[in-house]
Formats: sequence, C-alpha cells, structure tokens
Amino acid sequence: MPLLITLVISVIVMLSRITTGPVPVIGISLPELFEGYISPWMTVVSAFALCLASVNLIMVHSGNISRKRQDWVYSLILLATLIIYGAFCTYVELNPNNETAAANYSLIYNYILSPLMTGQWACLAFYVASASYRAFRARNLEATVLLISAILVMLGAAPVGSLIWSRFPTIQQWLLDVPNMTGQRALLIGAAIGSFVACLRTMLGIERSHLGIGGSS
Amino acid sequence: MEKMQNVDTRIIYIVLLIVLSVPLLRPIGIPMQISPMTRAVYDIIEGLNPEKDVVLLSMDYSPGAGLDAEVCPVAVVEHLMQRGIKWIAISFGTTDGPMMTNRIIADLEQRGYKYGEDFANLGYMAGEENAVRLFALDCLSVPTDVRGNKTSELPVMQGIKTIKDFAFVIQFSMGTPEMWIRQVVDPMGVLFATGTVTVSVPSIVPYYNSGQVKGVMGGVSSAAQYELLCNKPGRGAAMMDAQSMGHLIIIFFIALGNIGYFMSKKGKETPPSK
Amino acid sequence: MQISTNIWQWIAVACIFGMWSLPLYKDNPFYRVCQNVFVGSCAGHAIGIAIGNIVHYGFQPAIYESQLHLIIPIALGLLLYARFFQKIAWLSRWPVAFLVGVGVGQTIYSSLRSQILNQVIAAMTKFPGESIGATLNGLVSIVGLLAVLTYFLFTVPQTKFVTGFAQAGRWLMMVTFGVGFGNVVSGRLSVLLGELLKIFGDWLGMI
Repeated sequence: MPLLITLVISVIVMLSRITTGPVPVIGISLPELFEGYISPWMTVVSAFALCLASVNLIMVHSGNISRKRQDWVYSLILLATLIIYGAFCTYVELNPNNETAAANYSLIYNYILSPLMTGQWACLAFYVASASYRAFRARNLEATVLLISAILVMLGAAPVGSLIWSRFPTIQQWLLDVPNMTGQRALLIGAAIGSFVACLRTMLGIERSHLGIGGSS
Repeated sequence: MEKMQNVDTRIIYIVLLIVLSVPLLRPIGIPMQISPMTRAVYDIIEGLNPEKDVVLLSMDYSPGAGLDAEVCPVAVVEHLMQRGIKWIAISFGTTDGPMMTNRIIADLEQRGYKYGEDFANLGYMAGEENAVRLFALDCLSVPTDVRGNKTSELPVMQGIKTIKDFAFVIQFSMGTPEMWIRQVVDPMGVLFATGTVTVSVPSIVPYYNSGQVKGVMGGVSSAAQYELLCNKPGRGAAMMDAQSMGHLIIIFFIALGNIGYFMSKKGKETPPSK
Repeated sequence: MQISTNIWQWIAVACIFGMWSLPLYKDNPFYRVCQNVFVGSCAGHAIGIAIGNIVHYGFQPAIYESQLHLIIPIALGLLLYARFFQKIAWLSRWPVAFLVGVGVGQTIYSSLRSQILNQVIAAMTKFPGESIGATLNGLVSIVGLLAVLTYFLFTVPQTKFVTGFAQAGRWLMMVTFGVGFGNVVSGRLSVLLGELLKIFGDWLGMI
C-alpha cells in the first residue's frame, strides 16, 4: 500500500506539470488536483513532520530523567527550555494579535536562542584556524594545488589582497568563474542525474529504504 | 619543530581573536572592489518602478549563520526603502525566517515606516519546495500574516495573485537556491536573484553563469560592496578590514604549519651522522 | 567605552561566552547548560511554528472554510507519530510514502529541466569566443566539464585515454575544492566577526 501511495502521488505531481485537461474518471485536471488538494495536504503533513525530531528529543531526555542517568540534570534543563519556548511560541502563533506576547517572545529569541546559535557556529572559525595550522598539509601535488587555489581566493576576496598585488581580485574572480564554475557544474549535473535515478527507483518501488523496509529489491 | 607542531590550540584561538579584534576597534579603511554579481542585484533594484513594483523576499536563513547571512538582506531592504519600493517577506526553508524578518521590520517601524503598507511578513510555510510551488501558483494560499491580518486585505498585497505579479524575487538563504530555480524560475520565468552565505557562493556560480540566477550576493563582502553602492556603509563595511586580517592570519597559519611539517619531515629523513 | 545597561545584552553576551568556553577553556558545566538550552530552545521554537502551521493551514480552513478534505492530511500527520508505538508503527509508513511521493514527483521533472538540461545548454559556449581570453575560458569550461564527468564514469572500460582524461578532471576538482575551502574560511571568519562586533559594539560600546 505505501508503495502504491508513492507511485500514484508522484505520477500525479509529475503529470500536473505537463497536462491540462480533465482526467476522465475524476473529472478534474491534474494541475487542479495538485493545487487544490495534494499541495495543501503536503503543507499540513510537513508541519506535522517538523515536530517529529522534537518529540523524539522529549522521549529520549524524559527517559534520562526518569532513570536518573548520568547528567540527567542537563536533560531536565533541556526539557524545561523546550517546554518554555514551545508553549510561548505556540501561544504567539495562535494569538498573533497579542503584540506584547510577540515582543516578549522576540526578546527571548533574539537575546538567548540567537546568540547561543551564533556562538556555536562561530566556534567553527576557531576550528578552521586550528585546522589550518595543524591539518592542512601540502602532502602531494594535488593537495598543493588545492591549497594554492584556496590561498589565491582568500587573498582576492579580502580588500587587503588588492593592496598586496592589484591582480589578486582578478585571479580570484577568474578562479571562481571558470575552473570552479566548471567543476561545480559537473558535480551539479552528476548529482542531478543521481537524484533523478534515485527518484525513479523510489517511484517504481525498487528503492524502499524510506519505508524502513531496508535496501532495494 | 615538534613543539611547533604540537602548540596548544587555545593559543591559536587567542591569536585569532586578537588579530580580528584590533581592526574592528581601529579600522584601516582598505578600499573595496565591487563584484559583478553584487552589482547585478543593485542594478535590478535600481531599475524597478516604485509606483507599481513589489518585491518578494524569501527569508530562508537562521541566526546560526550570523551576520554572514544577515547583512545581505539588511542592505537590500535598506536599498528598497531608499527607493520607496514595497516588499513582502515569506519563509520556506527554515522556521527561524519570520523572526529574522521581524528584526528588520522592528528597526524600520522605529524609523516611521508602516507595516502592511510598505512591507509585510507572511511567516513560515511548511513543505519546502512544495510550499514554494503552492505559493507561486496562488500567493493567497497563505491565509494570514504573522500579525494575524488577512493576507488578501493587506494594502501591500493588493494586485498580487501569483508569483508573476512580483517584479523581482530574491531569496536569502544559507545554501543554494535550487528549490526556487526548480519550481519557479525555470517553469515560470521570474526575475530572480539570491543572497547567501560566503560558503555557498561557489556552488551558485553555475546558476549565475546559465542566467537562471540574475545576481548573487555572497556574505559579508557582498553586503559591504552593496552598502558602498547605496552610499550607506553599515555592519558589512565595518567588518571588511577585520576580514582581511583574518584571511592573512589563516594564510600565515597554513604557511607556518606547512613549514614546520616539511622541516620535521626533512629532519626525520636525514640519517643521524655517525 | 560605554558598557550597555540593558540586561538582555548581558544575557546575550553571557550566552556567546558560554558557547566559546569549550574551545577557549575546556568542557565545563556552563557550556553544558548553554548547549542544552540551545537545543531545547530550537526544538521548542520548531514545535511552536509547526503547531501554528497545522492550525492555520489545516484546522482553521477545515473548520471555518468547510475544506473537509483537509481531514486527510491531518490524519496522515497524526499517523506519523505512530512510529513511537511498536504495535502500530507500521501505520507511519503511509504519511512517509505520501511525503516521499510528492518530493519524488517534484524532483523528477524539475531536476531534469533545471539542473541537467539548462546546465548542459549553458555549458555550450560560443567557440571560438569574442577574444582569445574568452576562447580559452570556453575551452577550459567544456573540456573541464567532460573531464570531471568522465572521472565519475565507472562503468566504461578504463582505457589509458579515459584514465588520463579522468585525472585531468581530478585536477580541476582540486581547484574547485580549493576555491570552496577559501570561501569556507571567509564565511566562518565572518560569523566570528559578527559576534565580536556585537561584543565590542552592542555590549561594550567601543565601536
């Protein structure tokens, strides 16, 4: 049954792009079927899917707390924060006219969630710096080519590069526009062919891993 | 040499912080060049008609990308307000998009602009690519905006039925604009540009080269260039000197690390003298 | 220097320093608290937005606009959570099949057009070009594209020509990845700079 659902829905969505006339048995055209039914249904089901990870998180950390596993206090902090943000955000979404609530939610979002997220991502700069020193070695000719291109791009992208040598920005732009563009285009085409084949296999039921059946037939 | 190879990483982090902080506090003022991809976005907005054109901003970035993602939409919105062009924001790629838009709107409202007349925030629509297509076919499929106003009754949404009623669409994201290109740009022929983080710029160049994307703004450097074009230097321009120093220190670290590596390798290869 | 008196500014900076305490110092309870608050707040925010979407796009049109067909996606969405109950976990395959079906249908048509055909058309540059530079660039583009694609062809006989051509593709990919790495460095530094700008500007008032 799930394989049939995948096949039927994917055929409808695919054909809704290229057909216009009404389907004989249903009496409605495929574009109308997509726009009026399938697409709004997808929005609702996707919204339910958004919460899946959070629900799983709640179950895992509730288990930690109830069994008093190691560091269960942190699980308690996580769940408490989840409940506070979840409840507050839900209230704001369902009562958009309440400007005070929206303003207060913006405060806890902009001054707690946002700096935590950005602070976490900013740590990547530290790791890039230490990796540059410890790991990026020109061990062979290919690695040397990679490093030289990276250095030329860094010198060209920053304003100081044009102070050191006026040609650096031109070299950086050329590297971006010609070799990089060529390589990226090839990777893009290759990946698109791969995803096309994977989608075809999924549509025809050859690939069933998304249903947890495991592997392909 | 061995000591050099095994230096505490915290020393590297502290050196990086110092090198980045000094130019922030004492700017040098190094001149910048404008890239053609950034200029393309500027020229498109300069060519719009404030009397009738409305722009759609797809805000698909989260605070995690920091100012690298945030400065581009701020610079573009500043330009739109300068020219008196109305805009609508919506999010498809991330649940944080509406909050990012609200930050920009809060600042504009403090300066006297009117929500609903000059701009609006339609919130987040789940479904990613499917949601993009649904919105493109029927812009009123979004029932209300983030403030609970009916979308069809917003003054700024008057005359907007489908994506083709927007003069220009620009997506601000942390990745590549494939979902827009696949669902809207190629099938419907909409004028489209993208703003993204610096990391994603190389992946977007093929789309720019093929003409599917008419302009690309990539991170802080593009935003700084855009601010210069608009004659309104902001956070982007303020960071460029420090960005330059950051690049130089990373190149220095790479060079130092490799020198240490080759010297220690040479030391191991040279047989000990008898 | 004018240190901010806004308590929220202090909280924000404390959050940034909390996250930075791991790389700059070591694993510590303050970092662990910040990390768990971060995960909890992101998950809570996602739940709030999701419930908003479910109500605005599902329940409200179904109840107030008599769009009763929306009961189907609401039921499918609820079935997604059947995976947490062992006896009825198999029911969660139906909404997954629906989600995958829509995604597959969208991708098959659109990726073929936008990412394969349009990119191949764009790769066909005018040869010879308007200048020597344009001609050379065009040559690099088309030969490079074919070379990189050849590198990923594993089902053709690996003759000397094919192997050599694939090696050229490999070299081009090294340049591509080098450009990518340069941009990664630039991007990561920008995020750090943004935080430093907030610390020195918004909090300490030094900028």
